[in-house]
Amino acid sequence: MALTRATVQSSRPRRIVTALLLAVAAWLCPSTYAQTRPARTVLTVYWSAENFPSTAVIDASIRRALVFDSSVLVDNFAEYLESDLFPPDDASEALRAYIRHKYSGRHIDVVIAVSDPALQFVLKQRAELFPDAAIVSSSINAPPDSTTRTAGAGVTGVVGGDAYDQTLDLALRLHPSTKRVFVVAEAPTLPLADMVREQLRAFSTRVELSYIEERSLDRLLAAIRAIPAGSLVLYVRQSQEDQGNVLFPSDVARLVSDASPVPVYGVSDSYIGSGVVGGVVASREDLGARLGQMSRQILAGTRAQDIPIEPVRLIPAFDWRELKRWGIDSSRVPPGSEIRFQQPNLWEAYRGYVAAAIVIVLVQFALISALLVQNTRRRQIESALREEARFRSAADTAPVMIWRSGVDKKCDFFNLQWLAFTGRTLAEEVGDGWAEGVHADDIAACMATYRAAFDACETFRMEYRLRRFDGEYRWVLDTGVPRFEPDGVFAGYIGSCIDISDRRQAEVALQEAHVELSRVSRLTALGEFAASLAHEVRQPLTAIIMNARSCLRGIAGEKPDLEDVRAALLDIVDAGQRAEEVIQRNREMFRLHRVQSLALDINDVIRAAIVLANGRLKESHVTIVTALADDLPTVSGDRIELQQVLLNLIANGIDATEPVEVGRRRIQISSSLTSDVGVRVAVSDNGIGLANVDRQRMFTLSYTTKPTGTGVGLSISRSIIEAHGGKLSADQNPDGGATFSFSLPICATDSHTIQRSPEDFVTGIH
Amino acid sequence: MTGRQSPLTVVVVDDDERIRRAIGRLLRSHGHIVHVFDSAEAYLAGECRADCAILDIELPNISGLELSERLRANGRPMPVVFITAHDELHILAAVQQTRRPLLKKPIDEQELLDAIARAMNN
Repeated sequence: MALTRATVQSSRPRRIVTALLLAVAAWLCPSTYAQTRPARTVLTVYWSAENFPSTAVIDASIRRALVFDSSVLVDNFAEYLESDLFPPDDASEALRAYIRHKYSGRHIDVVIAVSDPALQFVLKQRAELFPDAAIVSSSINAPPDSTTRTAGAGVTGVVGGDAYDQTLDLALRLHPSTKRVFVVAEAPTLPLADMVREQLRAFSTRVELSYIEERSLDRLLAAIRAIPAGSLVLYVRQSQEDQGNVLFPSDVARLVSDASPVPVYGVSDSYIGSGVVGGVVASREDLGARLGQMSRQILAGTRAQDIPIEPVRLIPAFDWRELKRWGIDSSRVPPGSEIRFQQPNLWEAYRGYVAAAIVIVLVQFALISALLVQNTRRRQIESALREEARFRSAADTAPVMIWRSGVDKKCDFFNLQWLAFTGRTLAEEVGDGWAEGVHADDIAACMATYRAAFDACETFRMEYRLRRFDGEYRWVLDTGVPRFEPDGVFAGYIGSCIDISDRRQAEVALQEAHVELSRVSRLTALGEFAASLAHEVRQPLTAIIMNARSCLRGIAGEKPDLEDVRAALLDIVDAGQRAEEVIQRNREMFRLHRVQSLALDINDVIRAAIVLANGRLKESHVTIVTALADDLPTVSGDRIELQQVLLNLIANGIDATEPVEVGRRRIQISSSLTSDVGVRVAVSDNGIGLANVDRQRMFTLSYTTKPTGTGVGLSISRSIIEAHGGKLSADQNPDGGATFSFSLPICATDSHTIQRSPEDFVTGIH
Repeated sequence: MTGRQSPLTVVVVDDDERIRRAIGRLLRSHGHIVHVFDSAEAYLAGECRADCAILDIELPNISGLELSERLRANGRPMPVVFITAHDELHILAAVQQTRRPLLKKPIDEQELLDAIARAMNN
């Protein structure tokens, strides 16, 4: 480089000459080196075959360490004892002959022996094959003793093998609930099983240890498959040396791991990657590096016996894929663990790209979302406007008055029909403006009904008087229904009104006609009765008067015909008796007056009576509610008369609630089954109650507390109820008002007759 | 009219036996001759000449009014006093058209004698 820099400013011909000189120098240099510093020879003897999985790893590490320092030229060779594949004596003898022949012209400086059989072979053949070579060994069980170490060029190396106990300890720490551990340790050429049992003896107090001693691969895998959950497998070694099917222990580790239903831990570095989760292992790479470094030290002049024998370095190692497979959190492995085969995730592999892609996607997402939201809002608004326009157009063409209110109970829309009716503008009517048009007598009930229905979210119907554009108050029937958004949220009310004044007037007129008709018919009935009675009594009266006159004439004469007077007097007596007979017969006739009575559903009778009373109830702003028991037995009686009783009681209730403010006037009619198997009907009101009523006299004829009352209603009602076998009573309500109730016996047969008393003949509302 | 005047022949048609007997007894005490019948049919069957007829309006089958009409139609009109225990307007109106006296029961003595006199004066 210094030459190159020096020639930077030189002329072109000089640059060419310099380049040629440099090329010649570069060609000459290696040969100069070779001549001055001859290459040294390192021979590595492996116990197993060249294709044994760990062999290649160790060999590569040794080579890397030997070439690390280029000041020493090294020829590195490798030979393979393969006493695990062939008969050990034959293998040993063959290799001895082979090396002797092959390396006869070479001076071997260092022999590296990998594994105990290789070290034994090297020490045994040392005198013949490697008389001056220093020995660097990797031994497991039989490290070189001190005599061996100092003999010849000396011996050093690494000692120590796989740590079964540490691996098992590690596995149990990661799987604390393990109950059984199945150990696979089978090696026909090694005293392995005993060694393993010895090392693991201490664990027998912690877990149940089971040794799978199956030489056959099929039976081994079958045993593995049968391992129960909650167990672990500790795979030490299993080599298959069946003819034509040579499987190395790591191959078997793969098969065992694949077959096992539980995690498998292995004790050898070469098993990591063959399906085991992990283990405390001697790193083969590390081992090769140390062997290479020690050899280099020796080549550099250090005596082998001066290099201390070191223990093999053990590290916890894991297969990242197996940790994932068994769901073991990689943060639980001990510190300093080596995790292999970790696959970088997408983020680790392509951090920049991923980040950029995420940013782009997010920006796009934000833009699209904003556009969508904007679009949706615009469509919603457009749709709402369209809906509103459609609603208004439909409402304005409807033949009824329509209003609409929001959740705040305030009205926000009235259709054209409404505005034409009231003669006001929409601006005047919205909110509570419409209420100004409601008649003063109706506004309280109207608002009470509206608010109560609103709070209960129920449909309502009410009638009230609404001022028309010409100032006339017209009765309207207003029906309101709750309305809901498409998502079911309550949105307020919509209602329609129709002018029912004409109908209502007709109803009132009809009702008045009914009342009049009933009064007239009652009077007619009375008149007929009286006329009939009069006719029958006048006959004997005429006879009495005529005969009495005859007597008077007879006794006034000078010679009275006493026989004739006597006959006349007898006729008078007879006629008097006849008159009494007439009266008696009429009494009897009424007493024995019988009406056919039928099985009745009392609830039907109540409903019919309410319909009849509806006009008066509305007129008086009295709300009527019912509490009718289901499945009541039938009662027997006269439908019309029981209705009459109910009408009387309702009329009493209406009169009683008159002092109560409008909107609170209330009558309740209930029906129920009594304890003595009868039916009870009660009519309650919240009126003035019975405080000013003479309870003793209230059911008697002509008793009344009303300025316009006749005092007949309750008397007749009681007569009717008693004729039906029941009893009418009145009670003061604890919270004000009165309750009139009557009970009726239930129907024993389909129909029967009711005996009537004469005063029952006179009926009617007081 | 008094009992001292010349005796009259009076027919009484009433379905009530007590009335027939009582009126008959009273008119006889005034010296009149009285024939009583319990129905229009009985009178028509045993028709006898009389100065005046006292007819109850409510007779079975043929009413007093109808009987009076029949007599007139047969060319034998007779003074008639109608009597009735009823006071319905339609009856009163029907009698009023005949322009004949009507007595409402109960009837007193003088009332009856005056009516007979009025009937005969018509």
